[in-house]
Amino acid sequence: MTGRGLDLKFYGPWQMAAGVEEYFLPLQEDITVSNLLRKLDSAFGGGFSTRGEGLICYFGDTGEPIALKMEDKVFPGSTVIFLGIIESG
Amino acid sequence: MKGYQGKIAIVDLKERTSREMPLDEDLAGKYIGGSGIGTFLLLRYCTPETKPLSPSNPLIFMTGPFMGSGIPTSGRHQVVTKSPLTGVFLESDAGGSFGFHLKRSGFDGLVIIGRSENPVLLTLIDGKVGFQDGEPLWGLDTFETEERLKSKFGKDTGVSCIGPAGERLVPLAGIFHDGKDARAAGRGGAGAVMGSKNLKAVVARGSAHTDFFDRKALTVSISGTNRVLKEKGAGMTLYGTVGGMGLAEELGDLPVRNWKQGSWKEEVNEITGQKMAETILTGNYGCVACPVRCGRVVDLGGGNIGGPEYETMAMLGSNCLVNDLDAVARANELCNRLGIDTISTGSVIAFAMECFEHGILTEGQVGMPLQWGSGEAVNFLVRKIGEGEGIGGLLGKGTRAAAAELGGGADKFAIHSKGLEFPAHDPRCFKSLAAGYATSTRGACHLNGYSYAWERSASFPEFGYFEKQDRTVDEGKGIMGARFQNLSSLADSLKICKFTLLMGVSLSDISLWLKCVTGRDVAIEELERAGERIFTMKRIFNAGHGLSRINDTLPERILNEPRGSGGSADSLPDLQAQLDEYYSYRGWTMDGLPTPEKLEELGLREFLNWLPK
Repeated sequence: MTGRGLDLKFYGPWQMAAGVEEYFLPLQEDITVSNLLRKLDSAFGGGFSTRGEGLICYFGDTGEPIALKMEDKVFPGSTVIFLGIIESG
Repeated sequence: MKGYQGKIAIVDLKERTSREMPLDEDLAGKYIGGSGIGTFLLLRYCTPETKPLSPSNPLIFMTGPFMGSGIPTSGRHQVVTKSPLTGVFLESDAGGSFGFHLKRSGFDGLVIIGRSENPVLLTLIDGKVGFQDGEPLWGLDTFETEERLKSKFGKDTGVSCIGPAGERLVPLAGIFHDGKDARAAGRGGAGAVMGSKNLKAVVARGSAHTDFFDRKALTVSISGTNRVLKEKGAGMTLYGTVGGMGLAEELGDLPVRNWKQGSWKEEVNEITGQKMAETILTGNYGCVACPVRCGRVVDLGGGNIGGPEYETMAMLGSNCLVNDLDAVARANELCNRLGIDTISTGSVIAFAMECFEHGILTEGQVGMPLQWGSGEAVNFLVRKIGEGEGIGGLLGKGTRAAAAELGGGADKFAIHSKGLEFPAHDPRCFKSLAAGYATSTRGACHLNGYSYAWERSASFPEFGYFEKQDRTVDEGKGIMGARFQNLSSLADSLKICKFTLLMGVSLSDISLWLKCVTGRDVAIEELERAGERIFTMKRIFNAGHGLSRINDTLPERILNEPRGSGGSADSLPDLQAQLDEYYSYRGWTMDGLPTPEKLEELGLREFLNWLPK
């Protein structure tokens, strides 16, 4: 992480929409997931405002992933992960 | 020899003797471990005349060279034998911890032949094989057996056991380990083979160390892979493979009403991993060395137990039109305790429900009405099947045999290939599964070759699959299926989880890891060649049992009846076109037989006599 903001990692269709695997979004204060998606729509030209398949999550202090809903907030200094579909066995 | 203990225990239960078979560089170099060496041993010890429940059918447990190295997901082992359900080749890839303990006991693998006169417990402890009285354990379920044996031998012990189903030789019986976490060599009746030997459990314990060629380079490589797998696998960590139920329904992949129905849009939401996370989920667990931890821990009111994953939820749930999460979770627990395969059990229950619907089975025969959607009926039948009683005695034989006994058109409702019931993915949705299931060496299996993953989400650039493939077309799917079968055979021999191949692990990674572990330089082309060699051995075993193209079939329902609604409403696979492409790619005859030239090319000359004259 460099500066104040969010480290974002994209996998699957999110990566295709972004065109990159990782992205640093400068951010000074917390933001809801839905607003984050709108910001990324502006940054990457669309494709982020609907979740589609997959999920958005971050890793908490225990090292376990925590799923994020649209109204959840994320805070500067966090790493947020955008994942493709959940594999079934 | 780096990466191996260098020996396999050969145990004769009748004579109560054991000896050590060396696992040398030649064997390891050619067949690697796990599935490869397991199949080689099966070809050595078994003949086409060997009956699956006879003392001479070997029961083989094999680890791989990656075990103990810390390579992500390397904590798996393979069980290989001849199946009492299908009569042909059987292997099961099992996660959990038993393989770890087996290798730590000082052995790379274990071959069990003969039949003990009385119930027996086999121990492999610090390089020594022992036999103990198994009578006190006989009749216990798998949870109780594990608990009793860990209490006796210590927490740091691997226990692989059968439940009452295996003891009663139910053809749907599996071999279970890790107690309430319930990991299994589930499919095809390996538990019945174990029961036929009067073998209740294998206990493995030890502190044997495995040498690796370059531990430092390996540690650097896998730390990056672990991070990526942890991130990419976060969905499975959170929701398990059951997290994929909703998408499976949306795409038209989910089995619904014995594969007859297309959509189940609203109902499926009650039995997803996401729903489980809001209700009965209390935690997760993983196999040894796995950063993903897709296993579910649930509490149904009696304390924590292993919860259902996708296959179980689909086969005991949607396939029976049951959307009661509690009922499916209880059925899962019962299957695990009794020691039966949840996939085949769910399939045969749906088969029974459809037979009941059509009057081929009656309430008098069953003992209760078999209504679609009844969780009570599912649990009732699970118990009957696991205990081999009443209608369970018939259904426990599997759909093929049960349909043959019932007659009256019941065969239309038996959804299997070669006698092994379909797992929970539909070839009408993912076309590559048509040739995949039909040519799978143990019968219908999505793991024998995991090609549908390349039609669903995953890519594999080393094979030229740079993006998700079109699941609706047949062209190219025979080749795709064959290539993933080779990969699966490789993964099953090294003993890593196939999920890693969907989450970015490449053949280049595997080549590096193999070098770090064993010191052997193996190019990626040779890795695929090894997978092809190992897969072909399994095909040879089946060819020796008279199987050929005419057995590479799928049920009429899958070939000729569209789902009718949902994401794959009108789609039907062209199996014959896929098979033509598949056999041609493999260099086999159009009758589906490997040629002598192919066997020479793959270094399998010693098995020429298995091919039909």
